[in-house]
Amino acid sequence: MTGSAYTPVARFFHWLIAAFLVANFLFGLSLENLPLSPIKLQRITWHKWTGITILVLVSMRLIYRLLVRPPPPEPGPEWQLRAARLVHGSLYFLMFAIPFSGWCLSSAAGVPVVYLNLWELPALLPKHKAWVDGLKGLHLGLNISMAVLVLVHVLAALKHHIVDRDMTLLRMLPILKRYS
Amino acid sequence: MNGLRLLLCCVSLVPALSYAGNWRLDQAQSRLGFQYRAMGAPVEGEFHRYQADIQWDPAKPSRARIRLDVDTGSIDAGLPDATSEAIKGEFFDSRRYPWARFVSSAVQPQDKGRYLLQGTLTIKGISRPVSLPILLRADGPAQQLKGTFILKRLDYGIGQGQWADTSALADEVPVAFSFRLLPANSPSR
Repeated sequence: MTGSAYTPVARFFHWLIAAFLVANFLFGLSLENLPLSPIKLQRITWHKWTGITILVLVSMRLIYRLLVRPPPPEPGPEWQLRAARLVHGSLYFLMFAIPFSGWCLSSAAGVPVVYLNLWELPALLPKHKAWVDGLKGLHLGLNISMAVLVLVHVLAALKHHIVDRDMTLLRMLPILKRYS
Repeated sequence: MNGLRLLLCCVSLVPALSYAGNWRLDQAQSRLGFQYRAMGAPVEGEFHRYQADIQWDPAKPSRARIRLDVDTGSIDAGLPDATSEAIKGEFFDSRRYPWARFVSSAVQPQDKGRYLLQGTLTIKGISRPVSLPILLRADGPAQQLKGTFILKRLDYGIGQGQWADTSALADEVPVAFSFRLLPANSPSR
C-alpha cells in the first residue's frame, strides 16, 4: 500500500535539497576563519552558487507542493500534528530566508553574485559596509536555527519509525520499500 | 630604526613639496576608482589620497605637463579583508612603494575637449609607457578632467605569488578617474 507516500518528485526534491543544505552549511562554516586567499575566494563563490541553486530548487519545490499536495500526515496526537506543521513551515521559511540573507550580505559587502560565472544577479541591497556584520550575524543565526530544526525534524522522523512504527519516515525515503 | 623611519617619512613627503603647477586638485570633488574581478565578481575600489602637479594652458595643450602621485596606502579595495591585503607585499607593497606615479610626456589634442595623454606610469618601481584618453570640460573657473583606461595589474606585479592566478583575480582592471581642477591661485575652501 503506497497510497499515502510522497510522490517520486517530492522525494527527489526533499533529498536533493537536504544534501545541498547540509553540504553548504558545513562548507559555509569552514570558510569562517580562513585567511583571504584565492582558495577562499573560490570557496566563497561556490558557497554562493550552491546557495542560489538551493533557492531555485526550493522555489520549484514549493510550486510543486502547491500543485501536488503532500499526503496527509500519519495519525497522531493533535499537538504533534501541529508541531509538525510548525517545523515544516519554519523549514520552508528558512530555506528561502537563508539564501536571501546570504545574497543580501553579498550585496551589502559590494560583491555581486555572478551565478555559475554566467549571470550577474542584481544587488538586493545597496553597498553598505555598516550592515555587513549584522547581516553576517543574521545569516549565521538563521543557519543555526535551521540546524536545530533539522535535528528536531530528523529525531521526530526516527521517533515515528522506531517508537510509533508508522510510515512517516518510509514514505519519504528515496527508494520506497514495499511496506505493508 | 627611528632614523630609518624618519628617512622614510621624509622620502614619502618629497612629492608633496614640489607642486608648482597652475592647477590644483579639488580632492573633495575628485575620484580615482577601479574595478577588479575576483572570481568573476566585479568589486569597486578607490584610492583616497593623491596629489597632482598640473601645468596646463588651454591655449597650448600640447605643452601641458601633468604629474599625479597616488598614495598606495590609501587604497580601499572595497572589502576590509581585501584592503588590508592590497597594501601588502604581494600587491602594492605600500611600505616599500608608498607612491604610484604618472608623469606625462606628451599631450595630443583630439576632437573637442578630448586629449590623448601619453606618459609613464610607475607602480612598485616598474615603469611602463601608457596613453590615456581624457576628456576635459570647463566648469566655471574649474576644469573637469575625466578618463578611463585598462590597467593590466600583472604588468606592474600587483598581485604576485598565489594572486598571480588570473582566474581568481582578473589581470585587466578598469580604472576610472574624475578630477576637478581649480586654478592654483584660487582660495582653498
